[in-house]
Amino acid sequence: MSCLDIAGLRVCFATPEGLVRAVDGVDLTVGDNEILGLVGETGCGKTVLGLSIMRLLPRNATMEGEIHYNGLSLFDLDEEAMRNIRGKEIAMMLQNPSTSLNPVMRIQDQVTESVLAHNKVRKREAKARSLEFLRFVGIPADRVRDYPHEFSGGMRQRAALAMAMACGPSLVIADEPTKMLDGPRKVQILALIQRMQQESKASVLFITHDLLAAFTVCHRIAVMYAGEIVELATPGELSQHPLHPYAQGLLESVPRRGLKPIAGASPSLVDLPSGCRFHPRCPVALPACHSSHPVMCEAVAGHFVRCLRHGPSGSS
Amino acid sequence: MNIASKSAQYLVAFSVVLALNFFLPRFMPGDPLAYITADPSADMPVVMSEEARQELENYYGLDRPLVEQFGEYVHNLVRGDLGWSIYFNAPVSDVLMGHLKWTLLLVGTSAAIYVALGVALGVISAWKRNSKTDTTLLVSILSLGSWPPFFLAMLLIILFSAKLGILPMSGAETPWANHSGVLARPLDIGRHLVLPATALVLTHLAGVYLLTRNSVLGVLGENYILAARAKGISERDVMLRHVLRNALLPIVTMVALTLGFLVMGAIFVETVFAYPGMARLLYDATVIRDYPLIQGSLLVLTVLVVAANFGADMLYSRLDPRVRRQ
Amino acid sequence: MRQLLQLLVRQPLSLVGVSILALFGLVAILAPYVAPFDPWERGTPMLPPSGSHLLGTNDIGQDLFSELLYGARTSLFIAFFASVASTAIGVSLGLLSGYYSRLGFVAMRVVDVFLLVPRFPLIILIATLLTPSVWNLILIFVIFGWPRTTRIIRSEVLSQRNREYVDGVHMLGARDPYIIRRYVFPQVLPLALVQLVLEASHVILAESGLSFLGLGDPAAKSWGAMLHYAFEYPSIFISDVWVRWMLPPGACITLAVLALVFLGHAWEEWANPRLKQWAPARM
Repeated sequence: MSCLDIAGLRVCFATPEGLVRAVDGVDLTVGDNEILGLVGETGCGKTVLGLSIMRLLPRNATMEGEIHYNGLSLFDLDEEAMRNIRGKEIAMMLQNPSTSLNPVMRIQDQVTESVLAHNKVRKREAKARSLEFLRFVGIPADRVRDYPHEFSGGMRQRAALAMAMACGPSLVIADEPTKMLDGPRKVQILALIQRMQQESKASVLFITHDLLAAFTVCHRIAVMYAGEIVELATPGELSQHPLHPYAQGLLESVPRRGLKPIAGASPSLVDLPSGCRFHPRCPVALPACHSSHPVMCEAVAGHFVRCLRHGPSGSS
Repeated sequence: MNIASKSAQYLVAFSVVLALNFFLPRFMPGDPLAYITADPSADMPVVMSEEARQELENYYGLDRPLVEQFGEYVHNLVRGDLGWSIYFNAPVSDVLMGHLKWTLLLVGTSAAIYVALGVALGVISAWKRNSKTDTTLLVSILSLGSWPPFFLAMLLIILFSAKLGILPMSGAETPWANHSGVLARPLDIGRHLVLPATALVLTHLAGVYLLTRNSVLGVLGENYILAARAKGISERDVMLRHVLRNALLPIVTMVALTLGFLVMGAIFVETVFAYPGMARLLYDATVIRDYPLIQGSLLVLTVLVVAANFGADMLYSRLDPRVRRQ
Repeated sequence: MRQLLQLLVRQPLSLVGVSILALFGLVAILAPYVAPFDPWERGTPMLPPSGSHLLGTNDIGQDLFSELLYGARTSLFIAFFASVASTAIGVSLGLLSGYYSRLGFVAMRVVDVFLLVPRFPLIILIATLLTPSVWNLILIFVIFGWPRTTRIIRSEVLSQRNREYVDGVHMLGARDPYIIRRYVFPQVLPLALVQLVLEASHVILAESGLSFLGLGDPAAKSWGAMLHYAFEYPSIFISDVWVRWMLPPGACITLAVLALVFLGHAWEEWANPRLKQWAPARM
């Protein structure tokens, strides 16, 4: 029984332009004491995936499938039970902490609030605990009573991490924790997340579009494209033997390897291509790719890929 | 915008009003003293001897250059001399003082009620957006706000005073009443206050209601509300600590914005109810063309609204931590 | 544009608003042909409602129903011209001051002063001083109406200006007037329409208010003026005259303002889409 088990997840949004299939058949497992990276370009559905685990999607969304947290089926819980899970068992660091922090509340109070929401302790105790977490992420005691606008981007991201950790969750969903940060601060937050994970033994779902960041901290990486997982492997395997053409493209687009962009544009989630979703942009597409939709299969031990070149197809 | 520039802005606004107040009548066609002499072109000619007219002209300094007149005007203002009311035959400042308290009572009571009510209903509406509650509230409050205050006032009089006879028709209190006991007078004043205040509250509810509703809706869509929910905080706490604290902050300045409309409403309501307030005084003075009184009441009304706005701005900058720590 | 027309008829609030306005507009245009009497013509005073005088006559014998019909002309005429003019000025000034920052700075200081000072007392003062006429009233409303629209349009322009596509087009060599006309203006248009409608509602209330106070154009028939004379009639509150003299013009003012307010609100939701409220998603 693993920490998080996602099976057959489908998330659709009803919009005036049509039905948006943000997540279309995702199977994913996050093991205990593991950092799983979820890598993909903007708009591929990664954030929606994160929000659906938390059941925080807007009213026009429909979810199908199953998500099990330590064997508990999340979709079967009522709202009150789910609320008890949020923050306490599964915590989420939202994208862009410049907007995800309450502008009129002091940073310390926002962390204390997390503690008090799930623990029956006195306010003083909760405050002390929040100071601990803030100190852990490197925010000095003389800054904790500041307001978010007085913090730098890096500090805000760290404060968000402290808030996520405050109740000792077993699963932390980190949505683009390095997005707004530059080089040194990126490294800093990555190191913090790693340290946090090692000390708390929590599992982390590390959502990012930055492949290199994922390589640095993740134990396994899942590559997502157009609402599906297309490849799953360890960082070592993925960087040396990427199997899916999209993953290969991603690697070659990194500055160190030449900044080669992937041709074409990501598909509209309303009007998806037939067969393999990547085939319009794929440099090595086969004729069958146009009509057959490939399924995930294990090409090498522990290395999964969804590509007709490496495995059978599903429906045609 | 910091405090210094805001203060400067208010100062400019005040000076503009002062200047307009002074210069406008003098630039308009017609002799300002025409109506108080036996000039047939006037609405209400007051017969006056030539010496008296000369004295008035000297008093107003109409024969001196404009700039000098303005200087004199400002100088007098600073000393608290607002001129001499022709109709009341008394200093303008005295007349105003007698009327100001009633306007303050009426406007103050109404504002307190419609702000509290408007905020409460706006929050409820935003919270239950697009539900039946929201739609009903929205349609009814918007409809109420479309009523001209004077029309509503007249209808209230007909219903409650004429037909039902439970509330007085006009005035601020029963004239020449002999009140026994300490509570009798306030009660009497209160009875006279009900209908005018109701008229003002009902017609001005829409403003604050919409502003609140929009503010709360705006905040509900913010990322930090999603983040608060992700923390597993109860809905009640999300509402109180995150939504309301942010959404209601601008209410302070928003309410100040509605004060201008409130003054307008007060002019109508006071007129219909013959309520002896200053807004109505402005109108009455206009009818009689009592220029010093017009200018005096205009000035005081405007200054009050501007001052209230200024106060609200200052209060807001104290409350919003983003502005406070600059 | 298509969106707007769709919205016009689909949204219930908008539909109500448009219908009422259309009705009033029709009445306003057709008044001279439909009105049974010339509303300025004096006859027997205080006649009760009858076949020929649907609402009876007022205290100087003028037919109330005809007054009512002609009142629509005055109120709508003034509201239309005043709001169109002040919105036009507001949009032009807003576009220019959003684009050219120095002009913008000066303009905003002026707007700030205008918006700070309560306009109605000043309106009364000016109305007293000018000769009362329809065009003077329009002038007054335009003078006090343009600042609000200017500020709103300007802030929208400022936010549009920083969008990437504007930079892109600019880099391709497009010059300012072209950019303003082709890219910024269409974005600003929905907001401008909303302001137009809302301003019209303010004007109707203000105009009827001024007429009620006796500061309107004595030559023009207006709903507010009807209420003015009704109010001055000594036994207006005690007798039942108010039903036919007070109710109709008051109701008309209310309905006209209501129509505009509904319309403005419905369009505002369209021009300023707010994010959907969170709620637990369906399983």
